[in-house]
Amino acid sequence: MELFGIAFAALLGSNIILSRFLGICPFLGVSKKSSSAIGMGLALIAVVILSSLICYGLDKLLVLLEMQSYLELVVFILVIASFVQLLEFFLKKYIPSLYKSLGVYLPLITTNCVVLQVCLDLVSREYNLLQTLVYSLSVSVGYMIVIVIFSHIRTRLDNSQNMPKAFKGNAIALITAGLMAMAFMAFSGFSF
Amino acid sequence: MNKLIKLPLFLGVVGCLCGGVLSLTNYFTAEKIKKDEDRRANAAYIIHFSNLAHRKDVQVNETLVNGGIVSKLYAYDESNEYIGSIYTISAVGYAGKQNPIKFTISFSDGKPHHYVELGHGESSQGAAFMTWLKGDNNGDRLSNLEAGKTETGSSITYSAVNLAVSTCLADYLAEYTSIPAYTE
Amino acid sequence: MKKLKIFLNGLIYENPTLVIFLGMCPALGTTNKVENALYMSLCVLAVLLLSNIIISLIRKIVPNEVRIPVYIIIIATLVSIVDMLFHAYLPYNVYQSLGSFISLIVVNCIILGRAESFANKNNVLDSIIDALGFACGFAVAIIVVAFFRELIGTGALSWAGHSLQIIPKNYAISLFASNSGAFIALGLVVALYSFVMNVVKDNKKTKAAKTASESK
Repeated sequence: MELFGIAFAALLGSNIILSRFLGICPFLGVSKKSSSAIGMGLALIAVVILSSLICYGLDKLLVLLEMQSYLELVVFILVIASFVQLLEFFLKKYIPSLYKSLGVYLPLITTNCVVLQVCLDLVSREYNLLQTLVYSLSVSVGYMIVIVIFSHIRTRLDNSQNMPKAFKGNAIALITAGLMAMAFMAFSGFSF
Repeated sequence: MNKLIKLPLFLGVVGCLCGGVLSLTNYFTAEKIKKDEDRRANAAYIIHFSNLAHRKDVQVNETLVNGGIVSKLYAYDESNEYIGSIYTISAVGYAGKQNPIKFTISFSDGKPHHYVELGHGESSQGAAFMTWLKGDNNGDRLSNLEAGKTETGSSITYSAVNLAVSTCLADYLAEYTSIPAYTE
Repeated sequence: MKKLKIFLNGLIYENPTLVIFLGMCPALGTTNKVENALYMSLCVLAVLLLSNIIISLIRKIVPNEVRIPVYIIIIATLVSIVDMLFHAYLPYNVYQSLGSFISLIVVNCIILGRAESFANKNNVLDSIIDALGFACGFAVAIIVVAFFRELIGTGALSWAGHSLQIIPKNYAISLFASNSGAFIALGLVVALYSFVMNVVKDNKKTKAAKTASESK
């Protein structure tokens, strides 16, 4: 039941974009077309799950070496950056179609707050392996849900005729995101 | 030097430099951070015993947990001598599990010493009960609760708090004369 | 004058939060109080300034293939140092409300972006001015949003535990103090900024057209 609580909270209750304000840069930048949003979401799911597992192991190692508090950030971000680089290399060689469809979004995931935050979370909340898996999967799926819904709304917004010039583009997108956040606030009342 | 050696070497040098700077900063700041943490944690307990200098957290056994006690600690003064025990209670009253009545209660010299309300669980009955518990003199009714006794036919809230406090009292009386001095 | 242009670039023309939309996460997460926004922009200033200086100093000796990992190591080190110093020496309640946003400066696109596009191509003095410009642009943007959110959302301005109630609490629009209010407030500030920029641009255009037609 506790796993379901973790999953629900990460997916909807405290959604990583709308409640915790992480991963906003790609949220605004990538969501102009729904195909790119889906691509970004899928890539993020893969990166988040795998890097959280690697960081889980590394954290155990750092605690053993007693260098946890100050080396953690450097080690995590290096791992994430090199892992994304490796993934890009791997996809280019073995699944070139997927690599081409993801395009420029794959290296962009390195600077995505979500990946680093998931790794930092699983350290500070002291999750075990199964909880880490569930948590990283729920966070990234929650991210993907929001970004895909938002991309569909955004396509409509960009096609509208009567938008005032000052609001065009990201301003109205932010206000729409605020309305979405209000809707998602409804999920925060659950407790398991 | 060909590239295969030069690049990792460069990275290694940068990494070691940064690691060195980080451990240096850590050496300077870690002590201060730890001291501030301890001071903040102790502040809540200094309300009970103003001469508190050290504290030792103790494992709560099953009897205590069933009574509604969440945590327990021994308080020691500057000369490492035992002053008293502080229990944190979370009693489930009329308002249910979502809104427990939370307070910390301290015992010293064989009787209840002081209590601090942490939250009465958004329930008017809880709030009214805590006011009643205060009595005319602060903590008056508290010291009259007999160890291990719960009153029948009284409100759910009263029974829960009564059970919690009397369990603490029984636990305290059983061991307070034999608690050793503070060691790190 | 070229130095001033570099500074104004970060402050006005390519303001990271309001124009090129980098580093949005702290702009939404730390703007609930002006105090938080101020301390956050202080941290970003420290990291951006130091990283620009260091990267500009070593730009000639870093091999091109490893430059991104090297930049990441340097920025992560600086962020860890700033985090440790903040935890030890600055107010604890602010450290708690900023939470993990300080650690997330490491993936803040502003820092890596300026390192990639400016600091590794220009000398130290220009890099310092560029860092100051961008940090000030970021600071002005989030402090304005925080001021707006705190004043209208709670009606009071607070600093270090003391608060000054300006608008009576019953009249405060608490939407802006909540999560969705962050998005809406930022959207409104972005729209306002773009409106002002458009007006200035149009004025310049009409002036240029006028002088062009007058000189004919």
